Amino acid sequence: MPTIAPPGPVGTAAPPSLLTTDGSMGQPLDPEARRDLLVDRLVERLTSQRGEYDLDHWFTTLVSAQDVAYRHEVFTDLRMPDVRVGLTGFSRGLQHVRQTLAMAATLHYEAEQQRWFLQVARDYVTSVRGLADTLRAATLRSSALQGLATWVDGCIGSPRFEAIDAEATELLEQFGRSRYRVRVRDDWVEVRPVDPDEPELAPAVLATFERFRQGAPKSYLQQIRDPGAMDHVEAAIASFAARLYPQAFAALTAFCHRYDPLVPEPLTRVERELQFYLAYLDLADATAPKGVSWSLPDIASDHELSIRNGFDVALALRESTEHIAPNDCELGSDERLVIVTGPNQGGKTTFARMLGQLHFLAATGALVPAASTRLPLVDRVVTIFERGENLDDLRGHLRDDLIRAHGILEHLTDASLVLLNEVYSSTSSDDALALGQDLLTRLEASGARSVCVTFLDELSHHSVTTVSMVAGVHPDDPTRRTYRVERRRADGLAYARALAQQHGLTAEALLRRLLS
Amino acid sequence: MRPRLLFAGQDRGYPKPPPEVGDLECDLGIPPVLDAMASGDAYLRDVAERVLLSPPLTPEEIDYRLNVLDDCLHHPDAIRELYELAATATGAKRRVHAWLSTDRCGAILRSSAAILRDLAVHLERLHDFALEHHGQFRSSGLTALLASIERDLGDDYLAQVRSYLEQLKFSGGVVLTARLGPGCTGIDYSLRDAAPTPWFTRLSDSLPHHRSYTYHLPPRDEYGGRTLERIRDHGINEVANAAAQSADHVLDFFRRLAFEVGFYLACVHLHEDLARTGVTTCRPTPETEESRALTARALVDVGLAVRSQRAPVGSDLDADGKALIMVTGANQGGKSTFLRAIGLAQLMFDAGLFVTADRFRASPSAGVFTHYRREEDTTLRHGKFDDELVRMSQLVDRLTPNAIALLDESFSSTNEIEGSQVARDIVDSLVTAGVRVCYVTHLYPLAHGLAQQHDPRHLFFRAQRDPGGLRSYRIIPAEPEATSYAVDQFREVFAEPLRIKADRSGGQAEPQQSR
Repeated sequence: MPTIAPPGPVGTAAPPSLLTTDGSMGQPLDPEARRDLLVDRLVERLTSQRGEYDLDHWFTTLVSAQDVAYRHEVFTDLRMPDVRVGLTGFSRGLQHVRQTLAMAATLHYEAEQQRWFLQVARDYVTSVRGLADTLRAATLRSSALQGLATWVDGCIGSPRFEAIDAEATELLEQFGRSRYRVRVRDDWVEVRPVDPDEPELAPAVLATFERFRQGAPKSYLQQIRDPGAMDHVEAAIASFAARLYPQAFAALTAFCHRYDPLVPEPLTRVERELQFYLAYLDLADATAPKGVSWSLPDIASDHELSIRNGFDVALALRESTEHIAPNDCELGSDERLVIVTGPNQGGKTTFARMLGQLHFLAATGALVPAASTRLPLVDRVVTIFERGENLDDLRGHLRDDLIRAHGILEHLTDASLVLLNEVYSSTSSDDALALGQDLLTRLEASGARSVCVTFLDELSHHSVTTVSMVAGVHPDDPTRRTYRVERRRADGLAYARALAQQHGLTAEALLRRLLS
Repeated sequence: MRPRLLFAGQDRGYPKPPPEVGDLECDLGIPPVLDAMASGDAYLRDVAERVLLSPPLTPEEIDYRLNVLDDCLHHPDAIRELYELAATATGAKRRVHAWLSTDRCGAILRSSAAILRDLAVHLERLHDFALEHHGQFRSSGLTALLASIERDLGDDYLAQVRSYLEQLKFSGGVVLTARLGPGCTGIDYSLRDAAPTPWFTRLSDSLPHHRSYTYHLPPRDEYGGRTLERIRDHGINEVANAAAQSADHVLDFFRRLAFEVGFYLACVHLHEDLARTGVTTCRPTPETEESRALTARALVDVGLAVRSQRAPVGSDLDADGKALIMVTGANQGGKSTFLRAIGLAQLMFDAGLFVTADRFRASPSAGVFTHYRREEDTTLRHGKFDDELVRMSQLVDRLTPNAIALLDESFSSTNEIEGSQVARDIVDSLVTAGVRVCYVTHLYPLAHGLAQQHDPRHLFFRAQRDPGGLRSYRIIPAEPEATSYAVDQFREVFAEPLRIKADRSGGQAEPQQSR
């Protein structure tokens, strides 16, 4: 696992880390919870365009309260559109420089390697200047970005940087002016200076047939694929061009020898750390069309919980999802036990997963999938989710559940979050009720906040502080779920009653439509 | 250049009928009419169908087409010749075995140049046609087309086209300029118009002060050969694109010409067919849309005429400003034929065709729509009455003011009272919405109820019946009677009277809903 450099004092040889104040790496998310909360899908998405950075562990590690606050500062600065656009541009620029230099290193002819070096020198200068401009123009609050700003200012003021800038500009202009004329036949090619008396041919041909033009014509322009590397024919053409323009080629060679390697190491490190933030901001944009938004959580010092429009990230990432019904949740500091009941496919599991994701992401210092949130930092998120019906081995199933519950209960603190989904379902309902009541009693004793999804309405009356939440259906059409989980008494009756009403309504609606 | 024979002004592309015209074609009996227009040419059938079923025209547009049509009816041979010319030209690709669907610039350039060389021959023929028929036509459509052909496709122009096509062979090699890009390979290629090199400059090329450098590929260097081809492709990409697009455009012009001239040729075919049968046709008189005119003398169902190859009995119609035409009366009394005659005449009028009547005067409609009785829904999703309602609901979505809705025995699949109530609601709201309704029905409560309104916008017809029960197939203006004479047909078939009598409203005996 790569180490993250501690923040340097302002004005030193290295900028501070953007991710941590003390270099500690925190506590990785429990693998079971990682699977049940579908965190892998989230991480896959966050790192999908960022493979080169190898970042998985940053996204799945719970960090100290101090680092959470430190990261929130950076997110807050990045909320300013100019800062985000500037830093994204810097990151893309540096990626491009890296990739181009890596490509050039594989090339065969020195002329092409040198010419690519010149090209990216220009891009490097532009990226770093852009970064400096961005940081200078913004009123930054985070100590991380303030430190970076100071360091970058020093960088672009250095004589080396200024020399790269000036020389690259001059050389590129020279090459831009260097046109040549080629005549191509089947087995030979001739290079000579441009003849200004030869006009372009294509416009004349187009003009001749212009009178027949109708609408937007189909394009027959071909994508001509030039291989990245030059071959002996192009090398010959380049060497002829070099004889037409000898000064430019001599200056290019000198430039490359002088300024390799191009990018200082600290800049590469900062650019990598930046991906943690940009990945979340990009993800928030990508899910926005589905009607949901992300936010920085407000960290509660007690166990109070308040969520507005929270949503399940895995659902939001699914391509087929067009719209998400977000959920709210309000819990007092003493309300540690939540029982979620309601119809099948009503959004119960999604709700539990959403709560788990929110707590876990908040503890990594990231944005969370909700319009606004106030919640405590958890030390652990643990899950016991039903793993699908296995009729052959009901007893084995139950046993697994019991073993897992037992293991978890030992390590819980009052800062832990436990998510149970249809646990003990592989038995008769009488037994499931008895076992469930037992588990709830133990969880209450541990002080951990627990969310229990169950089909047993009875469990929602477990004790006076138990909170009952129910997945809703539309009042006038119970076949449609609202996918909203609301705080209310669990009563299986409303659904059946409303279903009876429904048939008459639908028939009338149809008749009205046909006769209108 | 555009033919502009279908529309005078701005180009509107090919006429495109709405997607739901299948029922309309079947209900109005359009296929035989299209067959007559095609006269064996499947392409012409498609053209006729598209134009006939496209959205209606304005009175001015109708007039424009009628003028062109007059020219065509007077000079059928010239129109045939022009159509043949255009249709032949559209086969250029096939003739030269050209293939534009390739990613090789060289192949695209060679193919499109070959197509253009072939098309140049047809452009020349078109020019000859215009000169030969100069001054022969009177419509502004054909006059303008011939004038633009004479002006734009003259000898000078065709000579210039041929010269460029010659140059695109690049017999002296491809000359381009470029500069060295980021990888020190060429970028910004630009093809130059290099004059052929005379022998003495070729000699001076070898002198050192000219600074020219040549690289010869080693023998059998296929890789290097491909690189040269790639560089050449950079140069000719744009000009190959230009040539291919030009070939497309000229082909499109001929396709368009074949389409537009084809429509009029199809009209000529139909006209010839009807003339053989002895059916009278007339040039209709377009009125403004607001006047809601619809008047005909001796109107016949053109579909029936071409189907039966005889001249049917015509009907008169004075429905100017009428919102509802209600047709009742004897079974097999020609009611459906009458309805089809109205629908087809309006449709042909709306598309700028002649009409099969002695006289016809009308306002353009906002489209002709049908709601006809159907066989049982075979998908078993709806009952029959349900199915009628579903189709009506779909129709209502498409109807706008001044649309003409033709209803044939709609809502007779349920009992008379309920059917009448439903139909009455629908008729009333359609009329209120400005839709013009023509309704053939057996539903006595409906027809009678509407007649009681004495609304001057309503018009009632009855299939005429002579006292002996023989049909004259003439439809005359008359209030509805309480019977459809189904009993006549019963007698014809059974050769005996009804055994069960149901007495109603003091009228004739009638069985319940005989089918």
